Amino acid sequence: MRLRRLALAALIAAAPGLATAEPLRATVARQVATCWNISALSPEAQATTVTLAVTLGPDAMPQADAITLLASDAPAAVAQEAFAAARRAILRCGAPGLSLPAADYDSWRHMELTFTAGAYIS
Amino acid sequence: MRRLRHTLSAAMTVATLGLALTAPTAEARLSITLGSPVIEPMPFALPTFGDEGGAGGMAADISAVIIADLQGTGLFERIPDSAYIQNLPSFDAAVSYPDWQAINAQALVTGAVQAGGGQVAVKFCLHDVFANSLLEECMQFAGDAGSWRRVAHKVADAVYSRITGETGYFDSRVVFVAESGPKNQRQKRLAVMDYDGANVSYLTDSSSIVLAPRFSPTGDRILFTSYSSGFPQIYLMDVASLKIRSLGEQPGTMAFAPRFSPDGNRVVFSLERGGNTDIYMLDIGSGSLSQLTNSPAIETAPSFSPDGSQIVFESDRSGGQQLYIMSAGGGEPRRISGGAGRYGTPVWSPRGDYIAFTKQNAGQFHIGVMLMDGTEEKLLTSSYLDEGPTWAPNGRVIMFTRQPPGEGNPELWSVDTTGRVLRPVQVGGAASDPAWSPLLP
Repeated sequence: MRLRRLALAALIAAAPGLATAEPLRATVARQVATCWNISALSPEAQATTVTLAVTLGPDAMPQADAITLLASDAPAAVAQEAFAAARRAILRCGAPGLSLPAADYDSWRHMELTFTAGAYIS
Repeated sequence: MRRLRHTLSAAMTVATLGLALTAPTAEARLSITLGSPVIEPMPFALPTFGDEGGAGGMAADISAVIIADLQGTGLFERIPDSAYIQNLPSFDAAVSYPDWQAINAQALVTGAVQAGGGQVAVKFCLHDVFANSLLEECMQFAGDAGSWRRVAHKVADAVYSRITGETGYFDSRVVFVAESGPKNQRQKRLAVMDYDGANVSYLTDSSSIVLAPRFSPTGDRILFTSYSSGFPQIYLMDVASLKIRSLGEQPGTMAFAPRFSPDGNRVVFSLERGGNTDIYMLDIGSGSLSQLTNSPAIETAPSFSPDGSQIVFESDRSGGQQLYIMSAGGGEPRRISGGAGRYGTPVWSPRGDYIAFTKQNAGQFHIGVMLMDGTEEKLLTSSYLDEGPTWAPNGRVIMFTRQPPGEGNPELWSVDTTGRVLRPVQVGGAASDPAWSPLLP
């Protein structure tokens, strides 16, 4: 057990910015979730998990053209509805620029956001 | 399931950590998982459609119907005109997306109406405001000027379908029993209306009591039960001509609760013979009759599965009124309802997933849904008397009869399958026994 802890500590030390990753994840998730409205989606689309690639500018605003669907667990038509709602959430809540530490831009410039409401709606 | 979710969640955390550990380059992606969405109506903007010639007040009327359709679902909420920043002077005017983003419009519907020569045409565009683009290519619907409400419903169906990913249900009709007169001398007529209660017209006079109308799968025929011969028998009406014919009267019997098979060629119904009620199937073309159940119990309210392979019905063969499913060819049924109370009037969803039913328990009536194996029972309503569910063509909304206590008249209500959107249908008089049509062609 002690060996595993030491190994993990060594890995963290070798990964710049990792210590700030969890707070960053939490703050982005909190900000975007308030705009993630799935009410109008079909039950199938509501239960779909989609992963989106997002690129932010230095002002922490999402670049609309750079939001793409990376993965989904549903057929294309259903995934498209879920993707549209997720993209809308990113663009809506990101419109004024997300509240993120500018000094850590390299840490949050590229994001991979996974939207999964399955547990929430079941 | 909870344990499985925890395991998956732990696995996902490890995987996320792994990505951060192994790819800490400038191009590495920060992995984030969101699991708590918002469930609230989607705000949309719809400026009153423009008049591109001859439309007059029809442009505003069409806009109002589209707004009512979308808002009535409970899924959308229109942002009022007073909040709009951009004034779109014409259909072709460029949309200033920042102006619509500023008022938090998540969708924008723009449109224009042109009328003349007894025709009306509506062109419209659906914009994804925060994506700064059209959600899909602009469209146009046209029809007789007298059917402008249908054109409006078609626009609303297109918007609903594009955003939700499901087919709409606004361009549909409902046949029902219109009631008038004192309760001890009730007059009942078949009537048909738009799904939202508009355009009521009567299909029969009040010379005999009519019950339980049902649309054919193509919407061109209606089955119903009438007492015109002195005892209940089943009749078939052609909707275009209003011609009615009996489906094989048999003296000394009572036939009721008819429904079409999904192919429209057969009718399943209840027949009472010698004091016993069983379920039968009639081939409309040949007139051949086959008995599907043979039990001393009362078996009624049969409804086909969408694929035509099974029939759900109610029976008191176990001592209490419960729901059963059998093969469409008959045979031993299996009971699917198991909770306390009495279950009746089952109707299979057009999606095939749920069965809607009426439940009576502890002095209250409920409209509910359950899966075909009887699990995931969910009661959507509760009142003095709710009964007789019918599904919208897309299987997302249910209409039913609500009878208030005392001297109140029966009314039609609708509820969505989440139970959140419950509302009366404004018919303009006493009404019962609704049956939804398929989407109109």
